[in-house]
Amino acid sequence: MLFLTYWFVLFACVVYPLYWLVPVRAVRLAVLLSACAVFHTHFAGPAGVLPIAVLAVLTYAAGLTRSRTFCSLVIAACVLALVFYKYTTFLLVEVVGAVRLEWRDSLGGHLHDLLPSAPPLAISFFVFEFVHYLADVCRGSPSIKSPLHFGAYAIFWPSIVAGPVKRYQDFLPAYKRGLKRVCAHDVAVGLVRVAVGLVKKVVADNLTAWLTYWGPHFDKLDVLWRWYFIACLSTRVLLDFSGYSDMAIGFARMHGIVLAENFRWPYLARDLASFWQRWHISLSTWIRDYVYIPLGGSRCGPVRKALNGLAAFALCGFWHGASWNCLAWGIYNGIGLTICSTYRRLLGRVGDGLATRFERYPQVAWALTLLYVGIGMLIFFYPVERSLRMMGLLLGGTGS
Amino acid sequence: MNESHRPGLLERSLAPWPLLLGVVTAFLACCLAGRVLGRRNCFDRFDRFHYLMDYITLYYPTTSQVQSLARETFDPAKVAVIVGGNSIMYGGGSDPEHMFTRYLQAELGDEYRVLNLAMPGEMPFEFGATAAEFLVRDYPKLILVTNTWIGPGTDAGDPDGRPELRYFFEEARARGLLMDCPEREARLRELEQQRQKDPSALELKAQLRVDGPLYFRDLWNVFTYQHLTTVWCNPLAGSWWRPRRDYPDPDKLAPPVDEATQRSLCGTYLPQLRAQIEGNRPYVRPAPGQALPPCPLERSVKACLPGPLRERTLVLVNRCCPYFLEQLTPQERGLYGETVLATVQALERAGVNALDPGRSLSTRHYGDVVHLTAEGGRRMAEEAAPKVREMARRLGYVAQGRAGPGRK
Repeated sequence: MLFLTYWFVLFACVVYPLYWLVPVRAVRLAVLLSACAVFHTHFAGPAGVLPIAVLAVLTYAAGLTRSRTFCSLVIAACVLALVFYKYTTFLLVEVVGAVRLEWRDSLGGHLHDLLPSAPPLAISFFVFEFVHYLADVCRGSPSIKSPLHFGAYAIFWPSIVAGPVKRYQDFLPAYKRGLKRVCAHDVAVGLVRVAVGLVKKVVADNLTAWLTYWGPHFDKLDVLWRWYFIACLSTRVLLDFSGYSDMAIGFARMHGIVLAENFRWPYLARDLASFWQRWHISLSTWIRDYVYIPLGGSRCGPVRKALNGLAAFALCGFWHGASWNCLAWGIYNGIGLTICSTYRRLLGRVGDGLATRFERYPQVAWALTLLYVGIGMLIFFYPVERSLRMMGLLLGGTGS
Repeated sequence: MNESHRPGLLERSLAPWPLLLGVVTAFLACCLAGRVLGRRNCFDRFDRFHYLMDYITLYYPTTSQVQSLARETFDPAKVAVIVGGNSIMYGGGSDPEHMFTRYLQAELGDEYRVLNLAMPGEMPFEFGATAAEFLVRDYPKLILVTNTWIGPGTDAGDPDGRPELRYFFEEARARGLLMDCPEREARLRELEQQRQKDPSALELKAQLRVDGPLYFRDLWNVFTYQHLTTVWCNPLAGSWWRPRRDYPDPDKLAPPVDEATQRSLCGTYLPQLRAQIEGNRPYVRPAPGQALPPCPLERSVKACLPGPLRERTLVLVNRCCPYFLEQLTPQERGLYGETVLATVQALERAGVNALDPGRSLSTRHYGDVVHLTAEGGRRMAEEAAPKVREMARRLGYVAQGRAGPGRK
């Protein structure tokens, strides 16, 4: 958690007073860009900055040319960079290694020598923002002419690590307004958001400590405690992630820049579709706009719609982490969403009856949604086999 | 502003200037509260930092808290005795009534005031020694008693200690409480080079640089001790939120180790003991024609303790339970004895006082392989007290010929 480091406290103590006290746009821009560069370099290191810088320069240049071919090539380069840094080990060791077990160790050993120990910091966010930018430029949106404005969009420090995934059409006007004028109201609202995020993080970190301790002993818990474990796990994910988003939004606001909301009370959703409109909104709308709709969305019949949804959610899961369980979690949500959107048509009168019941008793729909999401968190956090066993244990029995 | 942005209720109703003023005032008030509260002793009937109020349960006593504890315990007119070191000095396996420091206080009498700053796992010159270094300014009549394992070939740790307790040294350093010590500075520079890529080391430095003038950890420690714990940790499990003052000292009086346990421990402990003896052989009996190599223990003591503190320091060299020594061959036992002697000599060469209190201890004085029973703690105090009194006389803390009332 980069915002909870003392280095960051010192960083913020230097950056904000400079930004607030000099009401000159050019100086503010210089302060903001320097802060972004320092923040990114400190946490990513030179090896993490270089690939992002190369991709950013290519993206900026492609945007300027507005050439569909060049933009497509750079989109491909961004995606390949993401695959190379984040997924090579998984694809070769887990996928190819699953085919020939003896390759697994040798591939793992070779890759360990060839690849950096960790992918460049937040490469997933960078790539998604660059792809969005180029795709929209290809569709006719204006490109960003100023390299400084593009730089600020690309490495805006509050949103580097955990989003929200920015849309440049929204970001640029907000950012220009922030450079022009940041008022006490912005700072106060930002501070409150940061404080809310901090409180969420404190609770989430306590839950993390508890879950880390009890996770390996899940089998030994009694059934009620296992359900309590699921409740804590779900709460922890929400508070951790939305807390981080709150802080990012708050810190941006303290620059006078309004970022889009990323969470809107997702655990109050009454169905999965609504849940995904409230959970990590910037990511789910990105996937909708740049994967689901280009695949055909809901326009090509129910089967294709279901397959498109599954593909989009598989990608969503895989984006969260290069592992089988993240992929499975994405597919699990895709299946849930498909069921949610088709059960009425597929089950005929029974489906209609169910839908009427859910409308009459929204608490039931809400509880089922929460249950589905909560159980899905097991898949997200634990290897698939173990998470399936944990799901079984929720119904009773012992682990042995 | 973002076109789609619709201010929420909080945002609409927020009055920015009163809020910002409130934030600044509250922040300054918290800093001031931390500073003021850190200067008051918050610990009720302090005996020692047991594990429910030390780093094991994520409670990190600050330098200010130790200073205020010292103010309540010590009297500038009397000799201040700080006990540092590991669980043996802490009194592991004894309740507060029967811990080593109680017996030492009883032995030394009223002219001395003993404060137990030992912690399980503490290195010889960590927490307690750091505290002694900054407390010696206010209490010049100060003696540090700490302990170490046998072995001139084993160093006494880094000057800033292990990661768990390094914060204390760094905090004292950031607040300018430590003495000048060129040997230590040189070693710290080496360590800094080695840790350049360790984010946790850099983070600790930044933390203490921020906390130094702001005292937020002092505030939080007092709050946690008196009102509410905010961090879950497993040892506190079901009652983790309770204030730390609610927890009594958890150590209970352990009986002497029985023979069946001793036998069961032999399998794991004897190979370690033999390895320890063999590892120290080059520093005790070098191969024919070879000189004694430079002694890591001597070097590390010089790098850990500044000169003025060395002469005020007594290091007890703790032996293991005699039962295990009896399982060794006579040659191994002989080498062990020589190793103990070499350890004492290495410490004395480094400029500290050293004592081997284990000669008078028998198997019934041990609760396990190394920890002492209440009776063992009493015997060790009987051995250490005359040495402490002798140091006090030599350092001019008490008049020559006055041994203090002590134990007759």
